[in-house]
Amino acid sequence: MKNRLVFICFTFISISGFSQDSEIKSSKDWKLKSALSFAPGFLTEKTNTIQLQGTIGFVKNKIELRGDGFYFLNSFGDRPRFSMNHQLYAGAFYKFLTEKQFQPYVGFQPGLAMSQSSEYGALNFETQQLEHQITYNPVGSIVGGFDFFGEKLFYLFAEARYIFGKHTSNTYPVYLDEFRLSFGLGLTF
Amino acid sequence: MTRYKYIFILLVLGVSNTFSQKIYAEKGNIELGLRTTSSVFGHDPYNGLGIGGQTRVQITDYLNTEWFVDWITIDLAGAGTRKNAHIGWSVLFYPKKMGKFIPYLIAGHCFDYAKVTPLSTQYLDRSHDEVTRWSSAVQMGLGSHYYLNDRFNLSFSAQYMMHLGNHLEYELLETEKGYYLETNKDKHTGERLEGHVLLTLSLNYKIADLW
Repeated sequence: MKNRLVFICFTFISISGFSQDSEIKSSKDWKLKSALSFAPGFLTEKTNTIQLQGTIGFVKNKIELRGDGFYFLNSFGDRPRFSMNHQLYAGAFYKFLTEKQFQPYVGFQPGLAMSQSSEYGALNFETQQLEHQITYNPVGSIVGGFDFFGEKLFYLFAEARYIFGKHTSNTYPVYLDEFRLSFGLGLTF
Repeated sequence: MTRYKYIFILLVLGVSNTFSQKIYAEKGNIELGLRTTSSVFGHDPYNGLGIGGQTRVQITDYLNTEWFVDWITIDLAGAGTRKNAHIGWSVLFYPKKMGKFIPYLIAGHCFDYAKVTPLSTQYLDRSHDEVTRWSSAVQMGLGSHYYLNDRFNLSFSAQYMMHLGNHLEYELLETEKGYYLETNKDKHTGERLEGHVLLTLSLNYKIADLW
C-alpha cells in the first residue's frame, strides 16, 4: 500500500513537472544533441539484454537527424541467443512542441547489426571446429519518446524502440526482433 | 448543402496551399541519404531486407541523378541465405512538381554481387556448396519525394530490377524434414534474365546548392 502511494505521488510529481508551459529561449534555430546511456532490451522467451547506447543528433525545423550506436554488453534469461549484437542506426525523427521544454518525438531508423549467434554453430570440415560466424545484417527500428530540455546544456530523455531484422549466417537464422528502452541525461549545444 | 460547400472550399484551399509556394528539388542540389530496401517478387518467394546509402546530384530542375549502394539479406526458408550487394546509379525525371510532393520516373544501372550459402550444421559443412556471382542489372520504376522542410525529404520508390548475366543456379526443395537448398556451381547454365522488385524508402538531406 505504501509503495502504491509513493508510486502515485511520484507519477503526479512527474506529470506536473512535464506539463508546465515553459518555453525554450534560444538565439539559434538549430540544436546539437549527444548522450550516452544504458539501454535494456526485451526479447521473447523471458530474455533480456543490456546495451550501452551512444547518440548524436541535429535538430532543425521540428526534424531531427540522429545516429545511434548500441554496444551489446550481455543478455540474460531462458534464451540469450546472441554472443554479439552491436548495432548502428541513422534516421530521422519528427519532434512535436519544439518551442517547449517537453518535446515528444517519433521516428524511423534503418541500421546495421553486427551479430553472432551463441546457439547455432556450423562445422568447419578442415579444422573440425564449430564456428559461429559474425555477420552484418540490415535492421530497422521504429522509435517513440521524449526529450525534456533544461535551461541550458542538459536534457533528459526516455524512449522506446521496436527493432526488426534477422541474423543470417551459414547456419540457422535467428530473429533480431527486440523491444528496447533507453533513458538518461544528455548534453545539448 | 452550405456545409459541404464550406468543406469543399477549405479542402481546395488546403490542397492548393500544400502544392504552391516554395520550389523544391532545384538544379545544383547535392543530397546525402540513407535508404532501407525490401526485395520482393524475386527468384525466391521470400522477402529480403536491406540497408544502404545514396547521394543525389541534381543536373537540371527536372533531372536528378542518384548514386547508391545497398546490402540486402534474404533468409531462404531456414535452408540457407542469400546476400546481395548493389552499387549503381539512376536518373530521376520530374514530369511535374507539386510543391512538397514531387513524383518521378526513375531508371538506371547497377552492378550486383550475389552469394547464396546453404545451411551448415554442427555435423555438416556445406561451405563448398556456396555459389557466388557478379552481374550487371538495369532498373526502372516510379517514385516520389515528400519535402518535410527546405533541406530534408522522404522518398519512396518501386523499381523492377532486371539482372543481365550468368544465372545463379540454386533451388529450394521441399523434403520430409523441411526445405533443402540445392546449389549448382556449373558455369554452363547460360545467361538468363532474372528480375525482382525493389521497394526503397530513403531519408535525404540537402548539403549543398552548387549551381
